[in-house]
Amino acid sequence: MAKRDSKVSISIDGKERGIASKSQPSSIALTKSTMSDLEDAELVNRVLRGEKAYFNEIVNRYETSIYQYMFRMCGNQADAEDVLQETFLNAFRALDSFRGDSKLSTWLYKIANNSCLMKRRKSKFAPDKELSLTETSTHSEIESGVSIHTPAKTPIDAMLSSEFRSILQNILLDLPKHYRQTFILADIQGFRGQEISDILGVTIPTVKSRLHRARIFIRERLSNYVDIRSEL
Amino acid sequence: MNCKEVMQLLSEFIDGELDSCHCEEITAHIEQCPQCRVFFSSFKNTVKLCRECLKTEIPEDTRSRLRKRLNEENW
Repeated sequence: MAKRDSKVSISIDGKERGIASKSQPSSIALTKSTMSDLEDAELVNRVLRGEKAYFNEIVNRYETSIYQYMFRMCGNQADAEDVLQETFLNAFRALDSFRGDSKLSTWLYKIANNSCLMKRRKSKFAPDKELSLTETSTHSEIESGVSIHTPAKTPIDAMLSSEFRSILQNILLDLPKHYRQTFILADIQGFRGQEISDILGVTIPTVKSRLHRARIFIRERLSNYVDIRSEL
Repeated sequence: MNCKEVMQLLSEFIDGELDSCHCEEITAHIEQCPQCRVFFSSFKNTVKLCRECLKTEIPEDTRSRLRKRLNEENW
């Protein structure tokens, strides 16, 4: 790694060792404050200049969202954690290739997707498939006038149930990967179409199509467990 | 606008990405079509339920192990 000869020897445990000693508490406070105020691009510049502690701030900013993304993609903590670690290690190693023409978050998510792909290749995942709108009963349901059946639980009951969350996660895992990625980024993490397009490297119409199909798929599966017709 | 056309536009409709003309057409159709009304309600609720239920925080032990791993790599 090109940056190992830096004068600053830093640990990523939140303690900026090497930046300020115990005799300089105000410097520590200033450094922490400065870090959190900096734009992503400036954090990257500082890490590339050898101030490795600034990578700590990058981790602080994005670990939760990338973990959440990978937890929903993988369906379990262990795999999500592996991918999270690989993502930040790969990001640090490749930081000098970050051009700044996209957002740092977009770049990190791309690395996370690649790390997830590598992990998938090592395990036995089912092959990806496409989802067709006609794969669901949606059309026939509408055309025949048949509404979804009415299970006992209301949506509010369901939301409070950890069992329900587990069911929802399993439905998510049944979605083919491309649809799952799009759905998680859009509907759980709140990314907009252009950002998802950048992260996944597909067009905005493709993002919209995948999101719509994913929603229809989940709605249909979910209707087996909860009456989702009533107002939430 | 028929049922099929409405269904194809529902995501863009709930995401606020349609122009007012399309929105009015969809709203009018949903008001007069019971099946689409049910479908629209359940579709919207699905998105809302997922948003509410699938958020998750990073566990503290995962956070700690991430930092430990990064340190071990001697970066």
